[in-house]
Amino acid sequence: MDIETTKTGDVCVISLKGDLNIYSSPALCEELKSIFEKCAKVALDLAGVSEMDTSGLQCLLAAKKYSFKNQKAFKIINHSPAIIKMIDLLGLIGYFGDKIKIPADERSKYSLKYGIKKQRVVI
Amino acid sequence: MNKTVMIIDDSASIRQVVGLTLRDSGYTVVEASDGQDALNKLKGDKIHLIICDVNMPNMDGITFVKNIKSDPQYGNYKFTPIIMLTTESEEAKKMEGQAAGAKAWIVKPFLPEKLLVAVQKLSLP
Amino acid sequence: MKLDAVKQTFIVECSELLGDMESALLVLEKNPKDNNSINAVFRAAHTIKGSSGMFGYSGIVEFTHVMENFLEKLRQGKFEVNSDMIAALLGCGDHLSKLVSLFTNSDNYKIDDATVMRGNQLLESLTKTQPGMELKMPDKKAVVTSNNTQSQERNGVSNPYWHISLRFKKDVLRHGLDPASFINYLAEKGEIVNVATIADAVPDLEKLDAEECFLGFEISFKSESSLDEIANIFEFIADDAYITIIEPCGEVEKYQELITHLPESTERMFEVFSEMNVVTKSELGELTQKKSSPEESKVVVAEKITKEGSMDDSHEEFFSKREEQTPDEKASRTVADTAAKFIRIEAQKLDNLINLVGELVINVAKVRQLSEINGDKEIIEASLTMGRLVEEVRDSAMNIRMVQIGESFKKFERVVRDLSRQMGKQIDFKVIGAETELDKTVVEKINDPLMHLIRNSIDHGIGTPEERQKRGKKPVGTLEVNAFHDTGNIVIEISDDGEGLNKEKILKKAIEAKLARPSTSYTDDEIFSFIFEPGLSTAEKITDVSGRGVGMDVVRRNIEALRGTIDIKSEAGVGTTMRISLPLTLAIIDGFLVEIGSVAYVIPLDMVLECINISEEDEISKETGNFVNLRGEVLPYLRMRDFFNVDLTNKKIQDNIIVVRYGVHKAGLLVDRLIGEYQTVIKPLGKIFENLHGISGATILGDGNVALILDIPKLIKHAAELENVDMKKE
Repeated sequence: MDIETTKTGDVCVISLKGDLNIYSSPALCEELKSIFEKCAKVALDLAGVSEMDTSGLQCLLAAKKYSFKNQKAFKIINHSPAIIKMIDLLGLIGYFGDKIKIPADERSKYSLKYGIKKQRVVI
Repeated sequence: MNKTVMIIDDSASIRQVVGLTLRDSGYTVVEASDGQDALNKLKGDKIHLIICDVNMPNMDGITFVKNIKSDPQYGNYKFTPIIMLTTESEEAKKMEGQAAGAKAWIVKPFLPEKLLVAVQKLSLP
Repeated sequence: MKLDAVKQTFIVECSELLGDMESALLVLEKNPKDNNSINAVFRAAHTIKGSSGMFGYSGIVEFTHVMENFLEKLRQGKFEVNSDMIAALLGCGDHLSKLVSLFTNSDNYKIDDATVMRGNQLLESLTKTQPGMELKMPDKKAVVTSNNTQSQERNGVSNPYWHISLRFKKDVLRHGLDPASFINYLAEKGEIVNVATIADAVPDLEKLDAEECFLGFEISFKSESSLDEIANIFEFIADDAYITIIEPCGEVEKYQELITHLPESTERMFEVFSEMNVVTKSELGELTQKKSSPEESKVVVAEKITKEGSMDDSHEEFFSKREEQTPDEKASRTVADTAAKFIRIEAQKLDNLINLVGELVINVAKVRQLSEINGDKEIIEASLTMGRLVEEVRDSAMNIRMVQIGESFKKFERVVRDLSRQMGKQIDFKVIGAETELDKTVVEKINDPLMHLIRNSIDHGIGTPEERQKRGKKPVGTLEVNAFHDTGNIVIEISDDGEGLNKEKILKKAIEAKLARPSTSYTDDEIFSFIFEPGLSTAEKITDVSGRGVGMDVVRRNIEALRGTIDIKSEAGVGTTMRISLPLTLAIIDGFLVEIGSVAYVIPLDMVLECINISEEDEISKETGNFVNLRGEVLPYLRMRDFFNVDLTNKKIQDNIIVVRYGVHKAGLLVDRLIGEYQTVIKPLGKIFENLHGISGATILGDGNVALILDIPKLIKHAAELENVDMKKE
């Protein structure tokens, strides 16, 4: 997986390419951690992610929790189908709360479960 | 995106049946005839799942599992889901294999459908 | 016992919901586009379905399920309301209340085939109102088989889905087992209705080991599969996971057990389960109740917990730690939250409170009395303040029992609708003052009399459109129920603009029944009061609605039992108004305190007509018999000293007659001393006194003495009997 971070204005955009899985998610966690320290607004561009597993997802959840806890702006942009599939399956669309673009003709592939609203941020 | 499954078995007929079944269901199948052959074929290409017989010449299934779990040169395959194929009498081998990190076991003989189900359970969306 | 209490709640809830549904349907009939009403009907069916599932009562679940589907389509605007549909839905509502009552009346619940058939017919007629509309009928077999299992599942939750709870050992991902892939496969074997990813245990970003799994999942799963089949899905991951599978409508205990074992807090899991609708709030209440009783927390483990391996990781620590914690504190908070709006309490508890408050009132009066004797200004002032506060306490305690009378008026709307249709009449039913409050006990007891009066009005009062037009009235009759407060009483008026009572006919009947004498002339009021006599009906034809001649006397008796009165105003050709006046509460009465011998007795003030002082000359009647001549009227009277066998040798002669009235009967009570008006709290007498003649209750006076309350209706009857005996002697 390739990680590339750019800064546009006050937003840091981390772009991923390849598989976000147990092999690559430690690297993403490292990157997120260091970018959060430098940047108040972080966007994670997942357009290039071809596959995500639970380990990768867990990394995204940790980032989301981090942002809540430390009052950072964090959002996921350009979800690839693999990402949507995963967060849809596990009822996390509502939790991440990011805008998701799905072409109309692909909508039937997803159940678009909102999941539960309340996630606990353990501080 | 097609997922790639590697089937490791010394029996060609089993390899074929498994291959046929999985290809029908949209998987790409890579075949290997024993553990050593399989290790040789793990050259960095993405393998989503490995199906591995226990009793094989050259390198048996258990050794193969131990290799990919612990040998850094196969680090890219360290966490690959593995389905072990076994016969009833190999309880000790099963214990050994599970200890090594292979958790999914299917007892031979099995219907191809059963294997397909196992593969589906271990495949990400 | 607990189950009974919950069942009671369920029954009350159902009857309220069915009442709401009925009113909403009646609104819809007039205004088919009223979305609020459509929603109300839907909600009723939906909620009943949910809560009946909690008792594993599949009969109601199946029935309401079809209704709910139908109503859901209606709600989505797929079709429009029509009168057939209203009729069918009303029928369904009736059937539902029958199902609920069947459930209520027996522990070993069974619905007979006939009832099932009837239900299916109703559902068919409902679906027929929408051609092209197809609803899946409940399979008769399914109803029967689920009934068989019902007894085992009585404590089940309403959640109709499988519940799967998953937590993992940290190494699960390293073993190449990805929970998501199993859930993905699960989705192919059924429908994942909802899934909650529990990320509470995910460590901070800087501490996260991405190879380890900290997630958990709670899944609502819809599937026809068996438990084994579902458990089998997780076959490979079972060694690396904690899996709990609870069958649809599984026992509350199983959820309880699950919550106890999960690493998250009880509160947190309640939140999750509640939001997922895995368990409803009422079930949660039950859960928390259960949790607080220690011996029950050890009940059966959830259906299938696959647990193996050593206790070596974070979740396991949690798992073991949880068992030591007492969840009570957190749990009770959840209950408080859910019950914030209304509290259902046992009526008995309220009665106790009101009793105590009543005694407090009495004692405060005593304190005041003593302070006045004592003469200390500050004490007098303090006791006055206390008195005022206690009165406020009494008023708010009374107020707790007050309910809006409109709740019970709702039922009348349906009766009016059904009856008027059945009899070919057109009636505009109006309710005024539905928000008027009165004591719940009174509301319950006044229901039947009101219902009877309304039926009467429809049956006899208001004519058919043709009859009305002949008399130059508008074809649609008006029936009005009006409730309002009037000086400590509540007044309920039932008025119609019908034909009015036929005086001649009533008189004729009364004479036939030997209730009236042909020679006497009667006032209107007297004539009207004859209709309250047993055995008098003026209806020309006896319908199944009214006119059986057993009604009106019962009506009056019921009202008088509530210490109320009923008056009739009627004008031929214009209409009739029945005016019922009731005390706001049964617990307190205005009494008239008298002394007989040296003991105080209380006579309910509203039964006292007058007090007369009889002179020595009049005393002759004492020798001759048991009646006096009261302004030319023969008044039977009772010597209360004789009645209570009081020794009177050392007392001067009694000379006060209190004239009391019960209905149309009057009698005099000869007492020793009149003390005066007195507001008092009624205390029922204990069981051993229940056959006491002439006494209906007791109260405590300010000085701490007990005063007995006279049972006036019985005394009047007794006096009349004595009079008859005397007359025969003559």
